[in-house]
Order: sequence, then structure tokens, then C-alpha cells
Amino acid sequence: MKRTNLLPILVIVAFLAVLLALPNLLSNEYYLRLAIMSGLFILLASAHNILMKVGQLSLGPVAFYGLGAYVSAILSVRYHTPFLLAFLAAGVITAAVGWVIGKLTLKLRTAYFVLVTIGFAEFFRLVAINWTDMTNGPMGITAVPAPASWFVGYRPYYYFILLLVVLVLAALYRIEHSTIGRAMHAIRENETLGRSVGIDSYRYMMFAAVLSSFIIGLSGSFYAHFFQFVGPELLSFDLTIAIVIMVIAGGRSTLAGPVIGAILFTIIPELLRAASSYRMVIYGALLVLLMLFMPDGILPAVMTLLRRIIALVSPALQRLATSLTGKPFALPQPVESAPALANAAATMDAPRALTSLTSKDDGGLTAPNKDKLEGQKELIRVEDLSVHFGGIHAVERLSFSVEQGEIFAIIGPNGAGKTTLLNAITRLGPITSGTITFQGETLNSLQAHDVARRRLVRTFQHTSVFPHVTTNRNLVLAHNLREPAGLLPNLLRTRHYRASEVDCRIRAKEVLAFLKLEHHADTQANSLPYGNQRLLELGIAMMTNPSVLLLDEPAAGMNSTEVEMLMDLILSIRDMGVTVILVEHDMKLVMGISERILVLNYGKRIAMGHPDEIRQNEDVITAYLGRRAADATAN
Amino acid sequence: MAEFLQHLLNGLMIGGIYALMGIGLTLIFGIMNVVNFAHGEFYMLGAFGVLTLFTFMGVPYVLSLALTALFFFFFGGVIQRLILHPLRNQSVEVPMLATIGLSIFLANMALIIWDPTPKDIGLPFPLKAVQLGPISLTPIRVFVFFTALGLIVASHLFLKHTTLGTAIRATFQDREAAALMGINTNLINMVTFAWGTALAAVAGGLLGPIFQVFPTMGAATSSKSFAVVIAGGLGNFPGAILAGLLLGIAESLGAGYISSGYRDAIAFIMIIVVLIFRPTGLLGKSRRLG
Repeated sequence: MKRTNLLPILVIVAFLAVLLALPNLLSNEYYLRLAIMSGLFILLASAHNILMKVGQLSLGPVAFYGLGAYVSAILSVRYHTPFLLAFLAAGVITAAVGWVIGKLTLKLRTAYFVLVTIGFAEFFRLVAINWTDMTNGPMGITAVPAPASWFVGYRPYYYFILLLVVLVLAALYRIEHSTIGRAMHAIRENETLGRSVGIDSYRYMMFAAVLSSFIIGLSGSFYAHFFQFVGPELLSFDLTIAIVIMVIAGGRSTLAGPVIGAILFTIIPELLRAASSYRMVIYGALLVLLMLFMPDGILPAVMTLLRRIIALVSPALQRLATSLTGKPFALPQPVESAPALANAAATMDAPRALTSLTSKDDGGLTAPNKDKLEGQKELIRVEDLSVHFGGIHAVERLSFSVEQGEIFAIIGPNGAGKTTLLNAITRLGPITSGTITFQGETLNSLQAHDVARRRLVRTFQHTSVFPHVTTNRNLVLAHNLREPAGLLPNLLRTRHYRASEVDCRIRAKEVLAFLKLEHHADTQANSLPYGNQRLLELGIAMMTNPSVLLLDEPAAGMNSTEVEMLMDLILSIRDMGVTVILVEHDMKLVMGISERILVLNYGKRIAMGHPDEIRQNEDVITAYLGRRAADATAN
Repeated sequence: MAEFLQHLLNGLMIGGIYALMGIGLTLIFGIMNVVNFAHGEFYMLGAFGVLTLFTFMGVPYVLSLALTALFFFFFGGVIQRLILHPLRNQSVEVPMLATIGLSIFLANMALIIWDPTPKDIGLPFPLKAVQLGPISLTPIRVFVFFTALGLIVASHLFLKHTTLGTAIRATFQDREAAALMGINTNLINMVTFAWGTALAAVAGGLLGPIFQVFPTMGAATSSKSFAVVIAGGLGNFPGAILAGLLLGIAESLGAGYISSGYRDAIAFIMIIVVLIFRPTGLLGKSRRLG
């Protein structure tokens, strides 16, 4: 089994050896310069890609590139700062500016974010041109000193940038395969769902912005000392486009994509030099064609192609191997590394899965404790809650409380304010007035991810999963709030971090078993059958080990067999000690399992009580159930 | 005071052009969810269209303008069909990058065809200025302003009072519902893009005789149109008009009284400030067309 782990390491070592020997292999200084430029662009593209990983496209990386270059040049030329200090200052100052700009802009999404980043880049460029006292304006700063006296020729610069690239890529690889990387993936896939399972998307976006601008700032400093000149062209929109093309063409939000893109698009324009005046024309046409035929980039396109070839070839290989050796041949399968996991998975069966989902836990809430349950009945209290959207009073002066361990249903006609109420409780939606408290703590001032971290977790009316990843990965992404989120534990892989990794895998297996979705573990979520997607939503919520589960029309679109299964699942979740708040139209489900029902109409409470009381209630019958429905459900 | 009024009137004229560019861009965003980076290049090509027809071939100015508009209406339709239609289901950055590629392609093609030296279209109207008290107005500026205004009003009437305009507004409100009502939303995309392209080309043809014409003139105008669209609120038609006029006036006054070096920064500051403090645009949330 070790063989599978050794191979990539060998490849990397061999690759590094070639890179170290490269200056001796290249006959021409020009090629070495090209290699340095490739390294510089690998840094820029990889750093720019960090924002892509949280789903944000910036068209302003040059603002940070220029800033880093100018800071380093000005410090060295005007204040004679030693190189290393100027280099680090460029990174730190740029990261600080990235933090400020991030604070200002990261509330924006899609096109709005794109356009504001252009605004900043152009503004910085105009400052570089017009602030002549500091920047020399269009003339630029010349005679930026070399990093050290022994930086002669291209060779030292080459090794310097190689070191930077290796360090940056290693760090990015580590981050990608950690809680932080998974949180970024979750945000990119479905930000709202991520927030509802406790991922603080704003924090991760800020992290991405600061890290990205730090690396870009260092690259800017390298540029200044390599070319020994800094001018406002460094802040041109054309350079932004070059960087963005590298990222997108290579394959955005992958690790290797920007590296491939950077190398290709450093070399291609050089090759196009022969075409002189047509160079940019071809460049533009290439970008259009790339978007038309490989919108995900070269790397994903090649990977898909490879997978197809393997799928085509492997049966033939198998036949060949069988005929040669008489034994069936199989491609090596990836093996789980943690032995604890293998044991846990092997001994797992359905009833144990249920207990282990609840038993080993930090908070006492999910472990049902009869005495405590008697003493502390009220879990959620909603007091005088109103939610208004302009003139529409979606929820109007509503008060009720939910008790520990019950299944509490909220019903009412469409537009009664049920989802608005759920949104208010989970803080994904606004509160106009009134208070919501959970175990005595007011939720009003919290954000959605904070609420999830108090283990109030919801599902959504419209199916909401992480669409482009497998079922298993969906569950792994939802584990975030049970993992250490700091940079150090993630980079250093502390004991606590490793424990949470094992917990994550065990829990994912348990949840899959609980939902009977094991056979779909490797199916991409958006190609699951509809009913299974709804189950997966439930699983995503269960990964967080909730103490309160809020379900928004979980049975919508399910057939009657699936509804039966869902009823059983909700009951067993309740038996684990989880309080369930259920918004639902399926009367069979509501009347069948809930202990108390709240009926809303036009945002107001018209009745509350046991299912039997509700069925008899005249107001409810007129407003919602209708005579015949009331009779039908009575049977 | 006279100087102030002169700046104000110049600002209004430029602002009218910005508004003309802005409504096209905002319509394209509102209907197709495409941020069109090639809008400035359509403007540049429009100016070259008029240069070719009016200056080189001697076609009357107003007719040149009309022919240019017609040509770029079809040109825009073809571009939409070939490049943006296949990308309609991709995430927003994919069509955006395609239009960036298109803008690089068009600007550099223009460099090859017409070389980089700025060219004069020449004056279509007599230079003799009309004196209005202390301020003077040249006939071309009056023509530019009122043509821009006329086209904006025509666009508004088209959206409000024609079947196609109503279909466009319906698509803007809810694409799926519109499709269910039998509206061919693909056709709506094409018409919207074609129309936006034609408006940008006319804007270029209108400003051409006042300034000079050169292949890279699109970039600056492009970013200003973005400023207008953002300040007005993406997809907000009246917002784009208001923001266009405001930007024109702000630039004219800023260049006159503060510093011409930072003249072009006003647009970007406008983008930054509006997006940070009022991301839904000057006119607020009401997204509406026409």
C-alpha cells in the first residue's frame, strides 16, 4: 500500500531536481529569463486563484502587484532599506491594503465585486501616474538596487523565484487539503448552505484576500528588484487580463491549473512575437475560443479526456492482463489512511450508527437526559417577532416557544410567513422587531454561521446541496464547525486537527448509513435522484451534530414511500435528542409525527396545540385545512 | 458664472453620450446577465464607421450615422449569436471574459486596419457658434446632445409601447415566466445585444467629429460606461441616464476647477464609492426598465 504514496513524492523530487539543474541545461540566457518570468507569473496566477477558490473574480490584482513593486522600490531607492526588509514590507503593506479593500468590498458578489476591483486598480494606476513626488509619475522609478551584490546575471534570480514558487505552492497545497480549503470549496459551491452549516464565509473570503495580496505584494517586490525599474504600466488592465487568462485557461480553483496557465501564457506571447502586429489580435481571439470550448480551463478538459481514455482502455487492459497472467487485473484503488477509520467503518452497523451519532459529544444537549429535560423545558422563545418587507408584513407580532426534544410543526397557507420565520430564527433573513432567544441567549445580533455554531441547523425549501461534488464530499464539507479553523492548526496538522479529520470520516460514514445512501457515496450530488438529494440535505445538517434541526418542507416533491421513510428518519433524529422544527404542507407527515403544531396565516398565529386540537380548530379549517382535508386526516 | 455654465453645458453633452452608452450596457446586463467589456470597442468602431462613410466616402453625416447604426445592429446580433448565446448557461465570469477577449481582438484589429494615429472626422455642420448671452454653443454640440436625448427617449418609448419592448421588459422581470408565456427569450437576448451595440456605435459616431478618432479610444469610454451603469444600479434604465448626466457634469467641472490629471479618476471613484455605500445604485432597489 505504501507504493501509492511514494510515487508522487518521487515524481516531485525528480521534477525539483530538473528545475534545480535547469540553468545548466538551458543554452541561452533568454530561456532562463523566460523561466524567471514564468515563475513570477506562477506566483501571480496562483495568488489570484485564491480568490477564485471562494468564488470571487477580481479584475484588480495589478493594484497589489503595483503596490508591492512601488513600496519595495521606494523603500530601497529613497530610504536605502535593505532588500529583505523592503521585500517583506512590500508583502505586509500589500496584505494590509488587501485587508482594508477586502473589508470594503467583500460584501459584494459576482459582477459587482468584479467591477469594484477594476475601479480600485484603475484608481491606483492614476495615483501612480499623478503622485509624481513619490512615484516619479509616468517616468517611473529607475535604478532599483539588486537584492544583493552577488545577484549578477539571471541565475540568482532564478533560484530565488524557484524558492518562492515552491514555498507558495506547498503552502497552498496544504491549505487546499485542510479545513480552510474545504470551507473555501463549500463557499464556492453554495455559500448560503455553507453559512447555514456554520461556515463564516466572510472570514474565509477575508483570509483569501489577505493571503492573495500578500503573495502578489511579494511578487511585485521581486519584479522591482529584478527589472530594477517600476513604472505605472505595471498597473495596466492588460496585465490583469494576462493574469486572469492564465488562471482561467489553466483551470480556475485547481492548484495545478494556474501553474500550467502561467507557463503556457508566458511562452505563447513570446512565440507570437513573430506575428508582431497580429499578436494581440490572436491573443484576444484565443481568449474567446477558450471560453467557448474550454470554459473550465485546460487542466479539467485534459483530465476529463484522460478519464475517458482510461475508461475506454481499461477493459482491454483487463482482458490483456487476464490472458497473460490468468488473474483479473485491477487498477490500484486509493486506500483510507487512518486505521481507526477502517476499524470504525468495518464494525459499523445501523443501530450503532444511531447511538454513536449522539453519544460521543461535547455539549450535553444531544444526549437525552430526562431530569435535565424536565428542568429546562423551553429551548427557543420567539417574542413579539415582526418581519416586514417594505409594506408587506410577512410575520406580525408572533410569539411562541419550542420545547426541548419535541417535534414542533409550523403550518399555514402559502405566503403565511413560515419560511420567513425560519429565516429569522436562523438569521439568514431580517428581523424587524421582537426577539428570538435560544437557551436564554438572544439570537437577534448573530449572523447565520454563528447560529449554526450554536447547533441550530436548517435545511432549505428549494433543494440546497453542494451541487458539483460527490455525496460523501458534501458531508465532509458540512463538517466545518467541528474542525479547528485557525491557520496554524491547519498548516501544522496538530493532534486536535487530526482527531477532527478522523471524526469527520467516521461521521460521514455513519450519516451515509443512517440515510441509506452508501451506494451513492461517490455520486455527484446534482445527479442524485430528487428524493435522495432531499435526504442528502438532511445528512448535511446531521454532520454538524445539531441540537435543533429546522426542516423547511423536507417532503416537498417526495413520493409516499419516500415520505414514510422521512417520517421514520425524523422520529429517529428526535430520539437522538434533537429538537425538530418542521415547516411542511404534507398533512400526513405533520399530523403523524409532530407533538405540537403552530398555524400561521398572514404572518399571524391563528392556533397552536396538539395535532388533534388543530384538526378540530374552526379557524384553521377555514383558513387552511378545508373541511374535507380535516376529515381525511382524521382517519 | 459664465465659465461655470459653459462647463455645465459641456458636461451635459458628454453626459448625454455616457447615458447613451450606459443604457445599452445596463440593458445587456439586465436581460442577459452579461457584463459587456466590448462596449467601448463598439463605440470606437462606430466612430470609425462614420469616419469611413462621411470623411472618406462623402456620405452625408446624418445618413452615415444611420447606416453605422444599422450595420452595428446586425453586427451586435451576429456577435451575440456566435459568442454569447453558446455561453448563456455558464457562470457570469465566462461570458465576461469572452467579451474581454472580443474587446482585445476588435481594438487590435482596428489598430491594424486604421493605424494608431488619431484622425479627424471633419465638421459636418458650420463651425459658427450660437451665442446665448455669455455662453457659446456650436451647432455640432447641440446636435450631439439632442440626438442622444432623442435616442434615449426613443428607447424608452420602444420599451414601453411596443410588443417587442413589452417582451423585453417581461424577460427582464422573470426570464422563465416570460419563456412560459411564449416569449422567445433567445431572440430577446439577440435584439437587446444588437440594440445596445447600435447605441454604442451611434455614441461613437456622434462624439467622433468633436474629438479625434483612434483605435484605443474605446477603453476609457468603456470604463466610464461601467461607472454609469454601476452608479445607476446594474440593470436600472432611468438610473443609467441620471448617472450618465451626473458623471459628464462631474468630469467637466472637476477638470475645469480641480485637476485634469485626475479627471479620469472621477469615474473610478464613483464606481468604488457607489458600490461600497450604495451597491444598488443611486436610485435604490427598484430595478425597472423603460
